[in-house]
Amino acid sequence: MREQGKKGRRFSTVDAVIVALMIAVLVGAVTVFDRNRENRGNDIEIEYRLLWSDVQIYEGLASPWESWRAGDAVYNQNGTAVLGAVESVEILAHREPIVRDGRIVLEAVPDRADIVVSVKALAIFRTGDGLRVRDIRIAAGGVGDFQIHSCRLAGAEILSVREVVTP
Amino acid sequence: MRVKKRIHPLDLCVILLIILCLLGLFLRWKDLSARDTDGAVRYEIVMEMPGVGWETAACYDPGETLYTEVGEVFGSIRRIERQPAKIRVPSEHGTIFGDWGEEKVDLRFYVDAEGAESNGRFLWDGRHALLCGERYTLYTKHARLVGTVLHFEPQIG
Repeated sequence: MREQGKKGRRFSTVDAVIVALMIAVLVGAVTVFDRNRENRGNDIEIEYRLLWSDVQIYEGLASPWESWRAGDAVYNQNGTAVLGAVESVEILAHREPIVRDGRIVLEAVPDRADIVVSVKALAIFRTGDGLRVRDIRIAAGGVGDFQIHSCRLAGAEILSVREVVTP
Repeated sequence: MRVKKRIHPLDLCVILLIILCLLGLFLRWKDLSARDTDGAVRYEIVMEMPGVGWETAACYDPGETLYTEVGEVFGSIRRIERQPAKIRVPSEHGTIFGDWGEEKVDLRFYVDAEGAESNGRFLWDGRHALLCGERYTLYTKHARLVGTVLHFEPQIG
């Protein structure tokens, strides 16, 4: 009877090794988490410009950007995170290269526009990790989908990113 | 009376797994150390990024550190050359060649990098060989760079 009771509570060397390994993994995870928390930078105000290129303008229909105003929220691809607020909207003629008199010239394409949206946001900078807004890297030359109101800016390009210097 | 200690089959499996893991780690370490690296080597890497809009092109500056997507240091930009991006448009008289003028530029980056040399190959992070013709996605603080390696050579002195 006594032997059976002892057998049930047996704690073998292997169990000890497993427990030690688990503790080591936990300590490692906590250390990494703490280091990341220490490296978390301060909020930096940035302005980035988005280019939504070669967009069709439909005659007789209001274009979505006509209702965009300064301060409107700019969302990520699936609309779950706010990536800043609209600062200004520029509507430019979309131009493409054509040949005229044997030379290449850039000519405006009818009913097509390039929409440039300036966005202000608070970003966090970490060395090696870049500038991130809600954990999404904002870098000039990057491409992604954004949302403003009920409109998806598919394949919008980040033209530039600059830090806002307050006097 | 002493009870004879017996190892449970499950414990035996765990021990075997641990031994296999340790063996794997040892083999990996042995593989890395067997690459008879000649210590740290400084290299100059020439990378090209074609057809960049003027506004984005202005976001790259010499002296900036380049990081990989996982945040490892790749090198630092020493010099940037900007040239109007080439363009070709088909026409009824054949293809016309020209450039984008100030609209778009081809950027050529001269990057200083430090890594290890192994069997005539440059391991930019001590593990991965740098390859001509390969495209690398790198980041500065403000911009993303997708550049193709055109050339690289060790720096003397």
